[in-house]
Order: sequence, then structure tokens, then C-alpha cells
Amino acid sequence: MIDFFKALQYIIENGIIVITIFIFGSYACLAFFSGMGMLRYMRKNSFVDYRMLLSSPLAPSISIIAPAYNEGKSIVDNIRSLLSLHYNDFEVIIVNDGSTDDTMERIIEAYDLEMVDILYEEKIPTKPIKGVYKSRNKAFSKLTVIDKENGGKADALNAGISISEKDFFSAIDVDCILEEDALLIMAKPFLEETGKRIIASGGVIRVANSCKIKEGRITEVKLPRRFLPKIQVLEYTRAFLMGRMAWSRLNGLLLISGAFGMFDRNIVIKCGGYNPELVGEDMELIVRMRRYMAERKEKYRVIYIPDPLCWTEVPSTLKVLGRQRDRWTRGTMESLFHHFKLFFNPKFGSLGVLGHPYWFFFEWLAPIIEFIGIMYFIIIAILGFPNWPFFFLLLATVYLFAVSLSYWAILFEELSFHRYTKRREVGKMLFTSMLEPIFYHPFILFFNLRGNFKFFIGEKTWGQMEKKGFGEEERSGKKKKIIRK
Amino acid sequence: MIRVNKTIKFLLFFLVSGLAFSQVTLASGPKQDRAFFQEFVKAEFSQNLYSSNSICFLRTLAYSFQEINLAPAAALEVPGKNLSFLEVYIESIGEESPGNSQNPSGLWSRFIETYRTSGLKVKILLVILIYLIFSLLSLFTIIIVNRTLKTRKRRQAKKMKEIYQEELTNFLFGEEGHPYEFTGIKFNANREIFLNELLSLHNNLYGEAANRLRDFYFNLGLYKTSLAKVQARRWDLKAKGFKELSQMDVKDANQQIAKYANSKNKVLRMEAHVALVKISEDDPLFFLDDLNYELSEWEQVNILNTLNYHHIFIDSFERWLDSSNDSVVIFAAKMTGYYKHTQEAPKLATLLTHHNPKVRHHAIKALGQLEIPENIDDLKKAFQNEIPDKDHQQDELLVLMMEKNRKAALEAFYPLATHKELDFLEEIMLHETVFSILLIAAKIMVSTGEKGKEALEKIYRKADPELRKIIENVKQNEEE
Repeated sequence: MIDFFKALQYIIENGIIVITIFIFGSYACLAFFSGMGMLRYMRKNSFVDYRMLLSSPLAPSISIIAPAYNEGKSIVDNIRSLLSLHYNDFEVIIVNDGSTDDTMERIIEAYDLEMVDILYEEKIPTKPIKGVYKSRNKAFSKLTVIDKENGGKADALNAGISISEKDFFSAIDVDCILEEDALLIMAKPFLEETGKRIIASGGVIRVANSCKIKEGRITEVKLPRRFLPKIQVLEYTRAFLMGRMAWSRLNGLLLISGAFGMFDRNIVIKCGGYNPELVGEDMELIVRMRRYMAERKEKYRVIYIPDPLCWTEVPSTLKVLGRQRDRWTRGTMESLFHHFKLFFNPKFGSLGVLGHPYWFFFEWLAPIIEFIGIMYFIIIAILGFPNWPFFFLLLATVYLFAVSLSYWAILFEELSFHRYTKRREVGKMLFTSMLEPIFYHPFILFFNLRGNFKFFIGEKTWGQMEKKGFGEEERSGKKKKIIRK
Repeated sequence: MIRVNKTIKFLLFFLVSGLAFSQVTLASGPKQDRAFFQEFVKAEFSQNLYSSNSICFLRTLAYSFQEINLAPAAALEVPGKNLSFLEVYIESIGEESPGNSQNPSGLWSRFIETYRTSGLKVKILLVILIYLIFSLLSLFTIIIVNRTLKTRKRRQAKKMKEIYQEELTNFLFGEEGHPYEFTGIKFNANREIFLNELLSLHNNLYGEAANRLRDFYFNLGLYKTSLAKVQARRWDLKAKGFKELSQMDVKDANQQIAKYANSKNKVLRMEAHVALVKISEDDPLFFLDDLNYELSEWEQVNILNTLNYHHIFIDSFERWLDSSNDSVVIFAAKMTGYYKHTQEAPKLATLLTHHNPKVRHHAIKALGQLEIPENIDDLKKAFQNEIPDKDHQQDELLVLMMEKNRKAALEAFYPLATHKELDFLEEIMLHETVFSILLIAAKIMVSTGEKGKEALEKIYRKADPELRKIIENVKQNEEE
């Protein structure tokens, strides 16, 4: 028994070292690839004039599809913001997903809508559509509103895809704020790639909490005042500028954020559209699209753009953050397990050999290993024989590594887009980086484990996402609720 | 951008040297430590005085020793050890290790000592730890310094920009012949800001004012700055040089830029092409003749924009319609349609049987843009050619592309169709399965007049519910 325990201890302690080095190495590689990718991207686009797409007859046509559920308070402004985007050949399709508030009435009134008899083919089955509306006012001719029964975000997007007739569509969260040039910048990769088909592209999602917003546009970028959103700025910067940039370069990108992404409509339809049965429909669609292309031996790419194109409000309370994160965990697990065939499967190229295994080990399994490590340590501490020096050494190393990753991300941001211009803001970010592993990470770990638990008991709810809304004080109690199936 | 590159190189150098530093620092030192401890432990164990009264604790301590002090754990596992021995043992190490005999003092010395006497696992962690401390401090410094420099540089650039804007405006609209001096233009950084301002102003001006700026660009020797960029090692600087030279119409640079018309770097290649379109007077698109790479759609957008912006007229795109490079053929087809070069219609028609479905697609669209009634039969044939046979059915994406081509053929056909084409359209209504194609076919039938409506009515009577819906919708829209 003692020998067994000793062997176990030996394996665990050596295993920790191996895993630590492996994780450090992987992150270092990602940071390297990301740095190279960023450098090339910045150079390449330093003298690009996106405006030439505005007048070009060769520019692709794009549909913006934005599902809306109980967005009555902000929907009119949100639509105005979308209609004022800089692009020529585009349409805005708002899908009212069975809202129970006055969302539909407000849109009809503000944009002078009337029901039209549009014949369309239901390319992807959805919940019944009650009506399609267009404006009587020619100034809003780019706007189409679909009123349908509630079926969730994925179902609403599928309805929009069926109605759309453009070659590309952009799926966005209606309460996000897009930069005016977002479509111009997002369309470019679809045009510039040769030899490979671009099936999807995604942009950076930035944190809009505390930013000054006027008429649906960010007028001044500010670092959030509150602790949780501030930490999420770091988290998003790390994930987007370091992680996804590298994966895009390695052609192993598995996720385009549901908040803003652009897709090849024909490939999405061929793949069957978004899966309304899943909570992580955005990730699962990308995996399915990639799998579809790889199975047909088609050359393809999923592209990521580091420009800050989309701003969103992130959770400012632990309760809401927890719901968001356990949903993300379940979404990741759904995609990984639905497509487990990809795992270390060289037939699927970088998706099978790199992308899927990375997400399996680092995004899904890592928190579980971390939890096992914590439990193991608690047990040996209770039994009275922990290796304290080794423990503290490992703890310090892991802590410093976490902080240094955030520092790298801050550096990337500083050298590239430099959105937080005040000197004090960079100081705050550096300081927050030091607090994150201690005061934030444990909660994220907990939410992750809760997501795992919920996945295994089969829970498929979206939960409530309470947002305070843009243009309101963060401390005001005004809240809106988004409840998804 | 120059600074971004330098910073990254500096960082890499800094961090790699940090790693080397931590490794070299920690690894250096007396090599006799291991041998000393092994001898020491052997000597202690040879006394064989121990009994096992606390195995668990003993083992934990043994592991701790292994990690920190390099004592061989196997030796401590000999039955008969006791706690008192271990205490003595710890003290002995404390008193007699060579590190201590050299009286190490301070945190760093203790750290070095711990490293020298540690096991592999701890050594690895210590190296990583030192490296991380080193990199954190350097990152912190770089971020702060970069922020400070950037703010200062931005402020300075803004100031100089305003000065140059004012000075250039005075130069343009002030008295002629008056000698002009520009503040601090001899400094490289200022010269670059000045050049950018001059180019930006030139971009927004026409006629005499633009010519004055161009002359000034030459007189001041700024073209040398642009030419130097073309000679630079970095591709983005070269591309910037191309842009500047083409904007200022430096025709002498044609040969230098043409060298990059088949560059491996696709951005550089594209910028070279765009510049050549502007400065090659006789044959602006000559580079398409021998293009070894695919012409991206983005590049096509850029070339078309340059042609339109500078009112460059191309007589004919015909010679590129049979290029061996499919992307060049596609571009030529697009341009033929866009500029309505009707004389090239027969050549376009030959592309309707091209092996590449994308080429066929753009040929169909271009023929549609030309709106020549004589092409109706070609478009009908094109539609028939795009019906996939059994061999094609396996390839879903090819079938999709062929669907798209059939739709494009009908769309091209739409403004030209008369009642003479009703038989052809009826065939489509009866045999086609793609919704969007059926919808267009029905619309065309209605647009041909009463005969078309009657023919559609006949089809309606025999149609399945889905087709009936399409016909009803088309008829209803026609009434409205």
C-alpha cells in the first residue's frame, strides 16, 4: 500500500512538472506565433485603404444577421448603428426571436415597417416565421425584419440565413457596438486569400464597460472602473491578441465569437447551419464547417482579424459571469465531444492534429487537472506530509507565468492598437494582472467545474445574462434580461 | 512600424539572454557538492542505527531532501531509520555542506546554493522562476518606456504635422517665387512626417496645385527618400516606396518596381502591380502577361480602383481572356463586362465551356452585363452546360458552383428574353429543382408578356405545391 502511495506521489509530482513545462511551452509557442502574426498583419495593413471597397463593384455583398430577444429598450438605436456602417452592398436582417416585450412594435414604429410577401426557401429548418417586414421609407431599404416564434439564438440566425441572398453573412449580437469600418475590414480577408477558400473570419471583441458611447458609437475608450470588467479586459486581450491570432496563423482556429463573425453563407447552409440544440452553437458551427471542408479535401482557412471591431458589455457581477462561463464550458464540451472523431486525426490536418487536441487538453481538461491537483494537495496537507518547498516553488512559478502572459498581452496591445491611451490605464492593467491569478482565477475554475457538472447532468439552458446597457452608469440598477432556450 | 520590429527583436534578444543568464548563473559553482553529499550520506548510513517508527514522515522528508538537498532518497528508505537521525542529518548538512563552509550570505547566495544542491525537477523550476522574474521585470520596463516614448513621439508628430500643414498651405497658396523653408525637415523623423503630409495633400488636389506639389517633391529631393525605400530590405518599406513613387508619377521607377511584379510576397507583388498601373503609360496592365501567381480579388479591387481613379483607359482586355492563369482570365472577364467592351463578346462566349467553373461564372456574368441579344443562344447553352451529370453529383461544392452558374446565366438572360425563349423556360420550370432558379425562370416568363403568362398558367395547373407557391408569388408581384 505504501509502495503504491509512493508510486502515486512520484507520478503526480513528476507529472506536475511535465504538465507545467508543456503548458508553459505551448503558451510560449502561441505567444511567438501570435507576435509574428501581429507583426505581419500590422505591416500588411499599415498602408491599406479600406475605403476603396466602398465604391468598388467587385466588393462582396454581405448580410448582417442580428437576432433580438427582448431588446425593446435599445433595439431602435442598435439598428440605426448597424444601418450606418460603412459599406455599400449590404443588408441588415433583424430577427425578432419571439420577444415578449415591445421589441417588434418599437422597430415597426421607428422604421415605418410593413409586412411584405417575400418568397424564400427554408434552407435550414427553423421555428415558424410569423412575418417578414420591410420599411416603406426608402432610406431604410437595407433593413429587413423577421418576426418569428422563439427558438433561441441559433434558430434565429438560421432564419436570417434562409432569408438572406448574399454570398456572405455576418452574425452579430444586436447589443454589440461595431466600429464603422468593421465590414470593410472583415471583408478583406475573403478577397485577398488565393488558393484557399475562406469559410469564416472573426474579429476581436473588446470590453465596452465604462467607455463613452454616443448614438451607438464608441466615442472614448476607457478602462472599466470595476474590478471584474477590468480583469476581463486582460482576459479578452490575452485570448484574442495572443491565442486566436496564433491559431489563425496555424490554421487551427476553432472558434469565431458569436458576438461578431463573418461566414461563407453557402458553406454554412451545406453544413446545416447553427445547431439550435446546443448552447455553444458558435464554436460547434466552426468545427462542423472545418470538418465539412476537410472531409471533401477542400483547401480552406478560418481567419482571425486582430483589429478591434466589436465592443460588448461584459458581466460585472460574479453571478452573471458564472452563468456565462459555465455556458462557455458546456459549449466547448459539446463541440469537442460531438466531433471527437477529429481528435489527433491527421486526416483533418491542423484541425485534427493541433486544434482539437489543444482545446481538449487546455480548454476542457486543464481545469479538471487543476482541480485534481488542488484536491491531491489538500489531502496530503491533511495527512501532514506535503512537500512545502516544492509546493511554494511551483506556486511561485505558475503565478509568475500567469502574470507574465498578461504582460505579454499588454505589450502586444501597446505595440499594436494602443486603445487605452492614458498612462494611468496601463498601470492599472499591469497591477490588475498581478491580482488576477489570486482573486479571479479561482472563481473561473469553479464556474468551469460547474459547467462540466451541468454538462454531464444534461443541462442545456442559456441562463440569464443581465446587462446594464450602454450609456448608463455602471452602478445604476437598470437591467435587462436575455433569456435563451 | 520600424520601432515595433526593433522592439520585438530587442525583446527576443533580451528574453533569450535572460534564459541563458539564469541557466549559466545557476549552473555555475563547485561540482564537488554532489559527491560530497553522497559520501556524507553513505557515511551516516554505514552506522546503521535506525528503526522505522515513522515511515510516512520519513519518506516525506526523504523526498524533501531529494528535492532540496540532493540526498539520495533510496538510501533513506533502508529499514531502521528514525526521526532522530534525520534531525541530526539536517543539522549535519547545515553545518558541513561546502556551500555553508563558504559562508553564503544574502538571499541570492542562498538561492544559488539551493540550486546547486537540488534535484532536476527543482532545478528546472528554479531556472523557469528566474527567467520569469527576469522577463516580468523587462516586460514591465518595456511597456512603461514604450508608453512614455510613444506618447512623446505622438505629441511631437502631431505638432510637426500641424506645422507642415500650415507651411505647405502657405507654399501652395502664397506668393510664387518666395523662398520657402520647412521647419526641421533635415531630421529623418520630421522628413517622413513632411512627406506623408505632402502626399496626403497631393492626393486631395488636382491641376496646378497638385503639379506644384509634385515639382516640389522632386526639387526637395524627396523622390530619393522614396527610392531609398524601394531599396530597403523590409518589404513593407518597399511597398510604401512603390506607393509614393506611383502617386508622384515617377515614371523612371518603372523598371525598379517591375522587378517585383512576380515577387513571392503577395502584398509586395500587389503594391508593385498597383504602382505599375499608374506609372506605365503605354501598357498599364503589361504585368498580367507573365503573372506566375494568382491575382487575388483584393488585388483586382485595387487595380480597378486605380484605373478608375486615374481615368486610365484600357482598349481591350481580350489578350488576357485566353491567359493560362485562370485568375487573370477572371479579371479580364470582369473588366470586359464592367467597361462594356462589347467587341470582346465572341471571345467571352468561348469561355462558357472553360474547364474552371469560376471562369465560366464570370464569363456568364460579363456577357449579361454586355446585354447583347445575339448572346442569348450562348447563354442558353451555358445554362445547359451547367447541369451536373452523374460524375459531378459526388462533388457537392462543384454542384453548388454549377447551380450558381445556372442562376447567373438566367439572370444574364433576363433583360434579353422574349417569347421566343418560352420553350426553353418551360423546360426549366418542369425539370429544374433549385428554388432560386425556378423563381427567376418564372419571373422571366412573366416578363415576356401575355404568352409567357399563359405558358406559366399551364405549368401552374400541372405543378406540385412548391412550384405553385413560386408561380403564385411571381404572379402576385406582377399584379402589384
